[in-house]
Amino acid sequence: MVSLQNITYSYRRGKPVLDGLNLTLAPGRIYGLLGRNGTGKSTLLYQMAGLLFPQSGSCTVFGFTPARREPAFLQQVYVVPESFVLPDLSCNAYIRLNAPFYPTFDHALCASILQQFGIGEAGRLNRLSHGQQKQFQIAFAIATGAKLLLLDEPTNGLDIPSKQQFRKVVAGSLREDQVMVISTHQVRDLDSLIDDVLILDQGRIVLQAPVSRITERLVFRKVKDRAESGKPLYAEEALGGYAVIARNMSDESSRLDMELLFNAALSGETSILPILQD
Amino acid sequence: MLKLQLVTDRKLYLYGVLGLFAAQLSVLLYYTFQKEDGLYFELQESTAGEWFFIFTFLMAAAGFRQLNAPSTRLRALMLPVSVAEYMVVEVFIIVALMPLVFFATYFVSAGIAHYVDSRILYNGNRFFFFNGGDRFDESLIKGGLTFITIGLAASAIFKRYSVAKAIVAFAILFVFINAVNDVFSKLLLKSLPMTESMQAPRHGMVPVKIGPGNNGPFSTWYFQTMDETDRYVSWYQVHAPEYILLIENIAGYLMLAGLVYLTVLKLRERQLS
Repeated sequence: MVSLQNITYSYRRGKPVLDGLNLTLAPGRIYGLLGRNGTGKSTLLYQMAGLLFPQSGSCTVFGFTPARREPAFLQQVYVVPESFVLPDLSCNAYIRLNAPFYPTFDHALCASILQQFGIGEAGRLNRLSHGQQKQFQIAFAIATGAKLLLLDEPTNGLDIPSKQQFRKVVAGSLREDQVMVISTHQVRDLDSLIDDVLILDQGRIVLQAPVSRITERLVFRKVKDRAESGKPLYAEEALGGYAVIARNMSDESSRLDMELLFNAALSGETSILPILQD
Repeated sequence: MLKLQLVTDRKLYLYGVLGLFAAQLSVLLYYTFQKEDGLYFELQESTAGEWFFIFTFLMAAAGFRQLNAPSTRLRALMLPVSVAEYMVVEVFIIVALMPLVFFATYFVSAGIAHYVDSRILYNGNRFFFFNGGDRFDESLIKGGLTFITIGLAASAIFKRYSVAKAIVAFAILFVFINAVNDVFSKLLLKSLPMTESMQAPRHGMVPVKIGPGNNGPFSTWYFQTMDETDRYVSWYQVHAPEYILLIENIAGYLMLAGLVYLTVLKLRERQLS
């Protein structure tokens, strides 16, 4: 269980990035963290990892206080940052040197994921493309067996087949006791992967809802004419017509359009968020 | 963790060792050719000691570079190790491994320079191999301990330009400690009674009072006698009182202990921002 209560954090005095943020994450789920640029998505991930300390409020991760950064806690958390520099080592050497820090590291799983990504273990890390380096980091992160995996823009730099492979690997590797938080702008890459949507705006989580609840209560449609959808909760121009969100009154089945939901949530449209409340 | 650090930074260490060797050889050869007496024993002794302190200090000041460099700090902070482990590994590298590297490069570079000095220039100087006696060994250990502690503390406190800031911090600390000690010693020396031999006239001048000297900590004190018109007559060197040396030693060790505590505190408080 990950719990953040009334977290406040600011890089500059008087400009809080996180402002009284509350969030609870349950094991066995993949959370998609969405938000505009600079709203504090990475800051939130770093709070959970103990890389930044809350200025007020409390944060607990599996019973640990992240800010203490105890080794037992750090074995349970792995962060894949958006940008990073890997050392001048072969993949094998990196794994050999770093895996012993994680008691539950699964070498077979790591090899299997790397194989799925098409990365040879003998290759040198700094000669891999940025996308491949990211894939390597993701493979290592999953193999650590860490209970909290924090991925910051994991699909940035991945080509289309790699994104597909990423989704497959993540969906097939996550255990019931693990929590994964994926912070992303590229919502379309992940809409089939995530279990819960988190939207961060103005320092707070403005929406936290499982995908199942969203599609149960809302319906996402593409229409040629606005009038076709009756009284939509939200509509925006899309290629060849309009993308709309309407109340799901007749158990209609539709695929979650995360981008549309995100735009609606941040548009100031007040009717959608209360519908999705638990 | 030691293995991880040594393997990951192997190129940095290699370039560092080569740089150290090149610098040692250049300076020693420069002395060999430029000094009138060539590479004489005392020069070798002072050069080796100074280089050792400088090298140790720079290594310590760059000690936590993985936690400071923007490209590596996230990975370093997320590595499941405690602050104590970080400290132990750094101290082991600086106290055990780096002196070995230093002595190895020193003996090779000094050996080459001594060969040139004795076989080509025929200066006939003895070769210094850290055989300076107990006093030298003690000052090497005490000095090394001080340099390591200040260097590591600077590396933990300053995230950016830690080496440069460590040098500045050390300079400030050095000046401050010397100034305090100097004031302290002058106050005590003022009340020193003038013995008969001190009052004996010299070069036509009659000493009537004691004047200020220049006094560093952990050492002997210096003062001068002056005549009525404040002209310098003689210089004297005295052992500092035992209790003063004891106070200085206690204060010195307390300062080092305080710096170790500050290092641990700063490492525990280290964030990504």
